[in-house]
Amino acid sequence: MSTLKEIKTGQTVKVDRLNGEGALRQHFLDMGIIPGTEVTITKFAPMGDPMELTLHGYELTLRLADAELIEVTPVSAKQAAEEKKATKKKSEHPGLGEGGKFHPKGSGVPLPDGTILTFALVGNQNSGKTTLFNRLTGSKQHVGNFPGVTVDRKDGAIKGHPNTNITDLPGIYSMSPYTSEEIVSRNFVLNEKPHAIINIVDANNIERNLYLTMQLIELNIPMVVAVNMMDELTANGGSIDFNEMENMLGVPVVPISAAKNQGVDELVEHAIHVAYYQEAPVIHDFCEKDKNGGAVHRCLHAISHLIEDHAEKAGLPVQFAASKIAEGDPLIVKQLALDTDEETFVEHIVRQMEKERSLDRSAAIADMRFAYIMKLCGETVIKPHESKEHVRSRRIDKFLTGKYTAIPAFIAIMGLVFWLTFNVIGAWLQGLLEDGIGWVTDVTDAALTRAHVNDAIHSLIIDGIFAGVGSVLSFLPIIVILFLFLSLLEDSGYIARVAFVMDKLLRKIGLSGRSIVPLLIGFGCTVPAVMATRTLPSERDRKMTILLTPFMSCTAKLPIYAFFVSAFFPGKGGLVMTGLYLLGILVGILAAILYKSTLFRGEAVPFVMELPNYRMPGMKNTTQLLWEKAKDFLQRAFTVILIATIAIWFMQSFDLRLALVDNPEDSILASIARIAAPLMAPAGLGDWRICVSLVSGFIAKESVVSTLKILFSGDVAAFMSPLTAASLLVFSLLYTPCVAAIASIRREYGRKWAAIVVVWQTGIAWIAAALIHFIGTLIGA
Amino acid sequence: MSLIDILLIGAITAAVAAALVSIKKQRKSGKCCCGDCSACHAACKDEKSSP
Repeated sequence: MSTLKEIKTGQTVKVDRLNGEGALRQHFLDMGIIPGTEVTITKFAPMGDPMELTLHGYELTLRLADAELIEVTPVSAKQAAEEKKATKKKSEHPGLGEGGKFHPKGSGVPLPDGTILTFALVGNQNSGKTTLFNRLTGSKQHVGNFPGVTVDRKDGAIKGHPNTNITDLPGIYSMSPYTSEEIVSRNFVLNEKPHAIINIVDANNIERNLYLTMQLIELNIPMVVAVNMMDELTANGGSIDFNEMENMLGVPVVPISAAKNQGVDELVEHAIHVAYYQEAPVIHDFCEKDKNGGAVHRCLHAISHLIEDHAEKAGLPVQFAASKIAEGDPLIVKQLALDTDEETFVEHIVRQMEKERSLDRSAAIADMRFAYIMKLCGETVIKPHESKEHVRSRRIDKFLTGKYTAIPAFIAIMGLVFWLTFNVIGAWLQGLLEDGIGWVTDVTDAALTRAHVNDAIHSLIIDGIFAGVGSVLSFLPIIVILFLFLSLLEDSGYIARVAFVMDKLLRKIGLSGRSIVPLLIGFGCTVPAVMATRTLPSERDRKMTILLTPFMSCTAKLPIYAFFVSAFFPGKGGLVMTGLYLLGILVGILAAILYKSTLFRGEAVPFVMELPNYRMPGMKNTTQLLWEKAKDFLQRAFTVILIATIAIWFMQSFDLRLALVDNPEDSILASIARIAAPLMAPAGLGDWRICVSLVSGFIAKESVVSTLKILFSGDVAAFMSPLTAASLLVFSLLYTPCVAAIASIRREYGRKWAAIVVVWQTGIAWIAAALIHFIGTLIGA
Repeated sequence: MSLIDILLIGAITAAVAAALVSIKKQRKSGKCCCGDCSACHAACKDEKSSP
């Protein structure tokens, strides 16, 4: 018998046995890798690891080391091609969730008037939850084409139904918690007990999506299944018998297309009905008595009777608790607090089931669910032919994930993004904006002079506010353009491929391919990057990625780079910028190697994720993201930066006795900064004005530029050498992240680590800047 | 100090007060962590939802 690792591209095999243990094994089972499943190897990443495989009609990536745990036997091509077609038969509409089934229309026992109906929106990753949430609530949450875009819950009322509250939860594959975002979803459903669940299911990946549906049904909470992306399924020749599916699942099933706003009103009607009348699923038992000698059926029912009182006491649905105990879920076992005899009894029942079924406990339960799903799909789903989106994705992937083309393509794409941003579009727009700001400043300056405004107020407005806020504002185009490209790459589905391609490389520094996403987001802003680490399944990977995100140069530092490039290195913008970004990455890699052999020994977690089809980024989604980005940047410029510039102007215009000073060297600012200046002297940054600007950068990185402009009266080049500028650029690249980023690290990682990050990053920055200064002085730069 | 000076000081004070209120509002609502929400693929932090 061979393992999946030894199989070649294009071969189809049948899973015989799944080795390994713990959460990862359970995750494999939940993703459908159970004995008997047919798996086809689609491709290998350019560096030979990980691999991509197709099972149950969807693609999944897996590392070779994990594939080695799966024992398989080859399947002949003829066998693989055999597929059970759904028989077209006329089914009666069950009318669940419509009034008339459980009670005559207009009667029933509704919840008291005025009750706020709460809904949980639950579904697999990348199934369109956030798109549906935006449709239902009218909100504008960002939608991505990468599994795990939502890492936190979001709430909102359904449009036209103010007495409702719907919560969009992170995508999960099953009710067995594997990542921290899955725990958010599971805890919400189990602990906060919503009045109803809206389970969104991707029509094109229906087998795998229904696995979660079956576990949700076991919870016995009123529920509606929304089968999303029906437009794509029907366009590719597929269809679903919804009446029969509703019959077999025992809950209302509504076809929708969230992106095209089709079927959403019907979904809302059904959801409100089941929540208002508390209509629980009709069926919550999928273990068939005659299937495989009824071993699983008898096991689950025996456990249900045994634990009924404990489940009720713990507030858990009996059916759900029984299947989780049978699987061996340690969290549920602990919650039920069974006594020793009961635990022994349960173990005997499970062991008997394992013996009869010739499968271990978790595989047997996963098999029971998938067997029902296959039966359900066999009777209700006519599979579409390969979608044109999938054909297109395969063609694009031949190049973008090809053995010899993937890495050059990645470098070329990122290079093009930076070149277009910093040298072409962004730079041109920035020039225009700078001219505009300069003109407004001149006009205001002239008007203030004509009006004989007090000199101090005049200086505050022109040298303080206009110089400070204006210099930061001019970077708006660059930031917006960079985000436009990053958003297009993510929405298209390319970023997921980058994770696939980079996994082997990242593993060498102790990370998983999934870490590439937070790290890439880090080039935008460290705060969301830190939060995006929640999609990583292990604590070790999360913490290590958090510590590495500050090395990825965020967009707030761009104004600093652009400012010094134009003052000291004109015409070499692309080179200096690329050099800085690469230096950040290089220092990050060195830090990762250090962390790997000290703080975070051991291996990165397995790389199990799916690659979505490439999609054209939505115009609306992209424009909305850009608008919000621009709005936030403007808001920041007129709040934090405005206050910081006024404070800096005040401290450099007055002395300690609050008298106006002629020479800024007598100012409050100079007095304070002189204390820190000697410490910075070895790095060539001993000028008190530079120290002040770096301290203001802790509040917001853009402040470094505005502060320098105020303190050097706009002409930095006259007071600073190119070597000092280079040293300052490297220090700015590496020193402590801003206060918002530190706050988010504190939230994720604790106060102690947040403080360590501040000291550690500043120390590294000091060493790097001192090295630059030392080498520069040595070669006489 | 002329009337125009007083008006300008008043306008700047009002702008600073509005900026402070805006920052405080964002922090208090818990909707925004850094003023950079749109950048955030993860949207914004809700303290209750921490795993």
